[in-house]
Amino acid sequence: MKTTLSLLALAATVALPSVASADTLRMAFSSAPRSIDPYPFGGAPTASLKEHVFEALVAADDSPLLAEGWKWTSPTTLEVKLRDGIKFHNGADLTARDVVYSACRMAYKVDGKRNLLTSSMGPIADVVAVDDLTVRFETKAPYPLWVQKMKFLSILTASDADVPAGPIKFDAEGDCGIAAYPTRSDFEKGDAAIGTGPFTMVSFDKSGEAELARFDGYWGEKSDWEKVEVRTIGNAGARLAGLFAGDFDLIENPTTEDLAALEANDDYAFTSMPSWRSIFLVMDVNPEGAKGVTAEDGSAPLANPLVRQAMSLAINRQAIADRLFGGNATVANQFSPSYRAGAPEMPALEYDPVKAKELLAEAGYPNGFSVDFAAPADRYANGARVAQAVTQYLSRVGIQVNLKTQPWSVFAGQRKERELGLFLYGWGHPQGPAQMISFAFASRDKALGLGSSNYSNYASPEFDAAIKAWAVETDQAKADGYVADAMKAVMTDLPGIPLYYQHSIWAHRSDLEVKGRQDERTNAAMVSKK
Amino acid sequence: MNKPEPTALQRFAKIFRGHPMAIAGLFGITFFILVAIFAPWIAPQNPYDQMQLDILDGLLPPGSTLGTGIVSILGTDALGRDILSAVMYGLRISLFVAFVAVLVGSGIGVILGLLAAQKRGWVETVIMRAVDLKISFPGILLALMLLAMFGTGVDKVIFALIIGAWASKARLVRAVALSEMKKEYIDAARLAGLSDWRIMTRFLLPNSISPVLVVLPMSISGAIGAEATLSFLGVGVPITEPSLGLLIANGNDYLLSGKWWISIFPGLVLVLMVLCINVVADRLRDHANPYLRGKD
Repeated sequence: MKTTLSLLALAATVALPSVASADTLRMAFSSAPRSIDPYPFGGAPTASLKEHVFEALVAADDSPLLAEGWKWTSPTTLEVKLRDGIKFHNGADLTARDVVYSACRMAYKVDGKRNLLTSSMGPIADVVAVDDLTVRFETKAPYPLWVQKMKFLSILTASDADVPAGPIKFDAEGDCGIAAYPTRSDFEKGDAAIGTGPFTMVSFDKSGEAELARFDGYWGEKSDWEKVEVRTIGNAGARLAGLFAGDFDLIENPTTEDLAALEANDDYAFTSMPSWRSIFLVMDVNPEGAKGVTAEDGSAPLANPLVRQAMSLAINRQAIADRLFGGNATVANQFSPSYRAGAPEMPALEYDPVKAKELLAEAGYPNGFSVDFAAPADRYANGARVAQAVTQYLSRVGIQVNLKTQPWSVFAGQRKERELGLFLYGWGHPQGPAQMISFAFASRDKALGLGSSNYSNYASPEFDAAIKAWAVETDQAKADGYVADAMKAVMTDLPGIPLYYQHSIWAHRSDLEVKGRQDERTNAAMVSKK
Repeated sequence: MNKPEPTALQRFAKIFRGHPMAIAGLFGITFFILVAIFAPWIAPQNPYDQMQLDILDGLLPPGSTLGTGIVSILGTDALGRDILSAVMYGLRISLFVAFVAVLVGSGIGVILGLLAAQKRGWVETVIMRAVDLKISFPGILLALMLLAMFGTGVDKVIFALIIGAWASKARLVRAVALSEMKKEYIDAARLAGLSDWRIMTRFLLPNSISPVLVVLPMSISGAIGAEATLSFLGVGVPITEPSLGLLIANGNDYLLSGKWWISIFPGLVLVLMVLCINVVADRLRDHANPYLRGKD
């Protein structure tokens, strides 16, 4: 026994973290960034990497970043003043021409495909460089949201050899008189990956590996790290093992089960931050009935608001947050996280199984009804366990729940085909509460881009009116009022049931200070030495 | 032929006489099968009844008392399932899936093998090329593919395992049946005017089936392992009705945080059961092997 112990001790000494260099930060992502080209792809991993190199006029929290400020000179004209003295990685100055060029590249089809982020340009009709530091955005219709959406417009440099000298004329196709844009592979090789961000790109590989170096001419606060290495390890156990073995200084998304092991070890710590991801149930409230939902009398139980209220009352959200997440989840009281800017004040959601049973009886289902409950098994932290806990709670008030957990690919396909009557879903919308509920619960309106994900078949004139008023309101206080009206309507009708808000967690060496972000992104700038 | 024919039981007993490991294995199998059959009556909790579970009882160490008053001898998992009960029920699913899949799969394999041997010609070509195709493909990959196509569930797992089980039996039976076909009693039966079907079921089948019976236990332990693998990978049985493999997968997430009981106990039972079946299967195989039979 003694020999074993000393052997173990020896092994432990040998395996002590070998620090590569005190000025290098080694991070492990949980899924791979798809490109360093800032436009074709959405998703947190791609955005995480891109933010090191590129910046936008507006920061993730809607505060000015490369912009100094902006003003709506008319309901369809926004003038943005740029910060002075900002330099690109190649030494060029940031000017309004670069912004026009970037808007052109955003509108341009990369590899013949429309960019995922292009939709955020909505009714933008023209982008004009008024002078070196002033850009004017002109829209076809009032589009107050553009101020928030500008965060998707990563600013590239127009100093590329292929860009003709002189002013650039914007057009919606992204042609703009530019002979050839840098291709995706030009970005990935690094030639075109020139932004204003705190790091320059050294190398990128599609397997999810990247190397970055500090940009010493950066206008903002300089990072502690001379070099940043990003690796992608999909398996949570392997990621944690990599941290313990000293291969990484910081890893994304350790599982909540592993937090106890991290707490027990003085060399490591974790940082948990309430995120923008809200986890909720979605119900098909179609009065003609929903797929997989059957009642003895042949009626459509989910179409009855009393039933939906009963289901909400049946679920002990606090127990889910405490037991399944060890407290690293915040109990929900509305669809978008209550702590987000623009989220209205809402009362807490009760847990009262007795009242739930009464409501079910009142609605005409004293013996409950039967419902298929779908949940993706591999998408959300603890998703499968949450789905089982919800199944327990709904069963206890007498609803016969048939839980089906499936891989995300299968689940997403069925959701798209509207084959799911009740399902677990999560949404971390980068643009705030109103955007989220307008996509999820507004009646479908293609022209206004509303209700594109309304799988509830929810249709409320009250809600729709509030959302439509919000979409064109440039006055912030009034807009917030409309959001509150809409949220109240949807929380009264409950076409879905909010459960909890997920927290983002980073595990790291205990001698690092990490400022967690709410948008689930990982950035070297949030890590500093203690 | 002067001695009286020994009864089936006597012959069976003779195979195991003097082989304590195999006898222990036999007792082990019997025990596990009994537990599986009577699980609903002897398990402290019904782990598949969502109403009896409470996440507030989750992750309790062995020996804790649950909210319902049950003492959980082996602890609970994250959702408040009593591990002892879950193992008993899981055993039920694992054994059921494996037995059904192997028996049905072998049945299909035997029939196809006999058909190939008896009909020859294009029937044999089609069947045997299908066998080659199936055997050239890694079994677990094929099962994963099928489950990805058809979705998860006990019935689908059984289907996937049946697809995995038939081919080797068909090949085995055809080889034996081909040599039987050359024997005089088959010619005699033909001359007597018996139909092909009758010859196959009355003469060919009983004389060709013994090698399949010998490999059957091994197939069953293989199927138990395959089901556990599929469930561990999350494409097997429904998550609310875990088999042993799924229980192990659930506990796997908690191993680093010191909640060892969730996967260790189902793992132990799985290993023990497969071990028991394998020692018995080994004994049967040795007994059937004429080169080793003299050493009995």
